[in-house]
Amino acid sequence: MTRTNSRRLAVSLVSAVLMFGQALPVAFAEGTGDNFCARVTTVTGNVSTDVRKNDGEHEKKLNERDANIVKKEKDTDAKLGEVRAKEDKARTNEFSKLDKLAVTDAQKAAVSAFKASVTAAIATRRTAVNKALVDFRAGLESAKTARRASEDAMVKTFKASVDSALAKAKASCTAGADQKTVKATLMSDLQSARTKLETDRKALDGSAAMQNLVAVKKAAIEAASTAFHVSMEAARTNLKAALKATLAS
Amino acid sequence: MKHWKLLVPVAILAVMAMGAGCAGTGRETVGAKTEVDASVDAIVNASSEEGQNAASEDANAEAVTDTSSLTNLGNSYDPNKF
Repeated sequence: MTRTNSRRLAVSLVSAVLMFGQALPVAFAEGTGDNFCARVTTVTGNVSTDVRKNDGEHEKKLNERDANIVKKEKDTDAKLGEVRAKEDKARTNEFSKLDKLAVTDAQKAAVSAFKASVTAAIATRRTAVNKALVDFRAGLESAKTARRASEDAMVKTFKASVDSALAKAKASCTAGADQKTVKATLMSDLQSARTKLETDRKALDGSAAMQNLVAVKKAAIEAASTAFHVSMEAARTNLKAALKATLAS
Repeated sequence: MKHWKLLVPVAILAVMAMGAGCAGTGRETVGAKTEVDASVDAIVNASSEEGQNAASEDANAEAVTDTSSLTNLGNSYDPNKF
């Protein structure tokens, strides 16, 4: 054998081994039940790994969601603080203008009464908005805690069912059961576990309750806004009447 | 009669002066009312954002109901590849 032929043979052998190596996982992955027990450890191991990986993703997502909820609440509080500070500044500015407008004691008394009414109206509105937010957040937290407990229970049941199905398949193979039957049983058991998880997940859907929380918050804030505007209009009317009487006299 | 002729312009001037006085009081009253309206409007407008921020938390309620990660968990494996 010449040196060139030896090299060609070596290259062909390496290629053949590489091709065989690539084909192996495909053959295992696409098995039809034949020799299932020969790869049951690999199959069950993969399922177990994937389930744990996605369980970790689920946990991660819940934790990220919780962090986002807290962040949004903090953002709302910060923004509300900014809005109220701006509002206070504007109100102080307007009060100063009205103070300058009042010359007589009667006018000063009217402006003073107006300021008290406005201050009270704003305080009432802020208290109502704060309460709406507190109630909404408490409702959300309560729902979140309840859902988390339910979800944890679902995941626990699902994982236990999967683990049980995998262990049963391995035990059946060890006991020498028919491989096709073992595979079919495993698929059926896993499908049952998946179906139960999906059924439980759909039953958990609390969209209506969440929408109700949003609606209640919105209604409370709108009611506070309406009451505020009513109070402001009353204060406006009273002040204008008082100033008209004194300035006209 | 001469006195009457002098009296007419004086009376006209008096009436004009009274009118001017009344108009001055009226302007003052209207001005005060306008300033009150402007101030009340400014206070009301400044508070218009009070409730708007609270709506930004509505997404939190939606986030709580998101169970897509549970669906992913259920789809962890492909039985067709057994």
